[in-house]
Amino acid sequence: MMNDKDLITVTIKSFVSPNESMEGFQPGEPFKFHLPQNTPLGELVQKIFSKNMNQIGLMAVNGQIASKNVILSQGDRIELYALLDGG
Amino acid sequence: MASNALGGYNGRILRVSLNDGKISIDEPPADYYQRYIGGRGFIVTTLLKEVPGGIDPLGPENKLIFALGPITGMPLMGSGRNSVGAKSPLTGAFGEAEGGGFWGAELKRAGFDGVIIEGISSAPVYLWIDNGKAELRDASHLWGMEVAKTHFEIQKELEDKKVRTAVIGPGGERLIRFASISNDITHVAARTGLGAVMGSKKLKAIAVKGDTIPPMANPEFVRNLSQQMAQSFKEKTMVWKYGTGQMMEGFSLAGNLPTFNFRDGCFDDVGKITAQAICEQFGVEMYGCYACAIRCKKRIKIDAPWYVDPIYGGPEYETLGAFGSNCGISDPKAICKAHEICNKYGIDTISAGNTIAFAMECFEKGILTTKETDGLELNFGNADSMLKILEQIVQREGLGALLCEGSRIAAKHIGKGSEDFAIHVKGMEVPMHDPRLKQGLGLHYSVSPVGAEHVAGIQDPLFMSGPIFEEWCGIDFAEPVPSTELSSRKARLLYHNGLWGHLQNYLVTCALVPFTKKQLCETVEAVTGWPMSYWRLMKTTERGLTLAKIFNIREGFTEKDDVLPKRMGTSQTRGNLKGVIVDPDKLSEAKKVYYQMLGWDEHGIPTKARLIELDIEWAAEHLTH
Repeated sequence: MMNDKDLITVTIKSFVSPNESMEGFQPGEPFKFHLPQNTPLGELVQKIFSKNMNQIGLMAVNGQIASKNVILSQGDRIELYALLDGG
Repeated sequence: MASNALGGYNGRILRVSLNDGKISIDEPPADYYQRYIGGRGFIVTTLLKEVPGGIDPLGPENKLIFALGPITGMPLMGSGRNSVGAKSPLTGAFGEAEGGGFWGAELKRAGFDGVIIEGISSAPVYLWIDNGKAELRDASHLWGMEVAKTHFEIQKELEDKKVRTAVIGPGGERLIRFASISNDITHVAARTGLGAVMGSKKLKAIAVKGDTIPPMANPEFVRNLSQQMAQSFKEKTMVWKYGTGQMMEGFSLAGNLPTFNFRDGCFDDVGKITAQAICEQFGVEMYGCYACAIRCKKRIKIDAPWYVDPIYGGPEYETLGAFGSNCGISDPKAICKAHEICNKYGIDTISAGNTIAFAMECFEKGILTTKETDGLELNFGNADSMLKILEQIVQREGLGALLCEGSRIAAKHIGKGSEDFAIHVKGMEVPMHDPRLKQGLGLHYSVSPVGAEHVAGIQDPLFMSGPIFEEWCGIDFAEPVPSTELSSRKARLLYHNGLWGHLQNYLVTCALVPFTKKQLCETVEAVTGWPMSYWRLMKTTERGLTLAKIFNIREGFTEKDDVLPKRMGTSQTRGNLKGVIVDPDKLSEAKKVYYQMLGWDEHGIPTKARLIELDIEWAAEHLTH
């Protein structure tokens, strides 16, 4: 059983839609998410965005491009981009 | 062909001769529709068969063709668009662009699948199409008018506020080589300078009113899909929130945001010019197109220091990049004003912004001085000068009289090495996606018959992760390909997926509506009544692409024109992509592989066998010129 002190909080800003279970999600609007310590970025993304993983063109942590192996820390700002646009 | 059904079409194309005012109706056979399907397919076929090679794009022999697709006007998202084409005055090659809104759907409802405009009128006119009938009307009183005023004057004259218009502004009248055609003011067919072709013909507008949708083979399917899409689009696309330009911070991080005339791909002030920043500060509303629930168009209003009229909408991503980062401008109000000027006068924001960025680099290097700019300090980042030089472009005054010819002609005139940093392909300025990051898209820019276009082709980042292949490829791809890779397997991606990307130019659908391949195939079948498959749609696209290539060969284009600007062979100076270039040897090799996959020889000439395979052997005669 995990208790709150084992969890960290990160902020996620995404331009890719999460799974249906993410209530209150708004495109490009930061939202807070709690997850276990020592979670790799790829695991978090797989958990929340598994339905639309194929739309993710770039992942960043704290304003820097990040690989899926980056271990997330308390307060990290995660950004997910599709890298598609036009008009 | 299996069926002579023509569901979704009217079977009629309007033909208007401006030389003598004669109006007639073509009724092409069913196999014409099945073979060329719509959009670019109709346009390129008409241009090859009816327009002689080597003509002046702004002369009487050029033809301006508006074309719809099978889905146009049907009650389904993305179906309001139209395609328009001619020999391009910007490139001298096959020219085509698409505009959204309602005009395309209205033309379909008025009883036509396209309009062919021939000749030159002796005085300004506009074409009025009303439920199967058409007439030319005097437009002397409209000539010189800005886009919005023209639109409202026509509605007033016809006593109907529901009339839809495709209009040129003073930009088209002044034959600016990147002039656009505006559907209902803000939905713009911007690229390749077709507004100048319309202006050369003294055709100010085409006004349309129609009430009847042609019958579909299976309307129940279309109704169900429409409901399903309306309920689920938010799970697949984000553009309903702020429109395009939401992800510019990510673009900048990746090195994909053209900055300082493509010298860099990241912009320190990007946060000030994103779609979110624009909407939050100046947004009035989001609005949309015919039958579309997404509503991705933003409308903005600014009062000072420049008044920005909300009637002209708001900037899309390409505009934010072209007048923003690429000109080093971080003032969002200035970018919005530039957008308003372009829409008011009817010119392409990508070509205009990039050509100004080119002039800024000339100024920075001392190739242009205050002597040529009439005292303007045309530095990167100088918003006031950017707006003043844009005003000169739309007025054809001062340095603007040269820049309104586009960056290729301007560089040729200015000389002194400026050709090396004129960022165009075949004369058309490069959109806001850097080929050094998206190298497959770069290959597409280089080989595309219309020059550097961004909507068709491939978006490389989609091919970096595994699951994408199930939906995007359709054919047996097995492994991810890095975005910055340029190779034979990237050419293979462009071949398969680029043909799919091009399909929207033929069906005349919208790239921002998240249809799956399966849904689109089934929709074409449900609308037309023809048995449809992925393979058959791909062959239709390939047929059109090959005909466009033949058109360009007839105009004297060779493999030497299928290249990227020299700058793409140099590194950005900072950021994520520093050290990454488009290797000219790899580009050349990938291009040859791509040619051969299309059944073209190593010089890019379609082989007779491929023409036979595509059932367009008739086009072989145009290769002998």
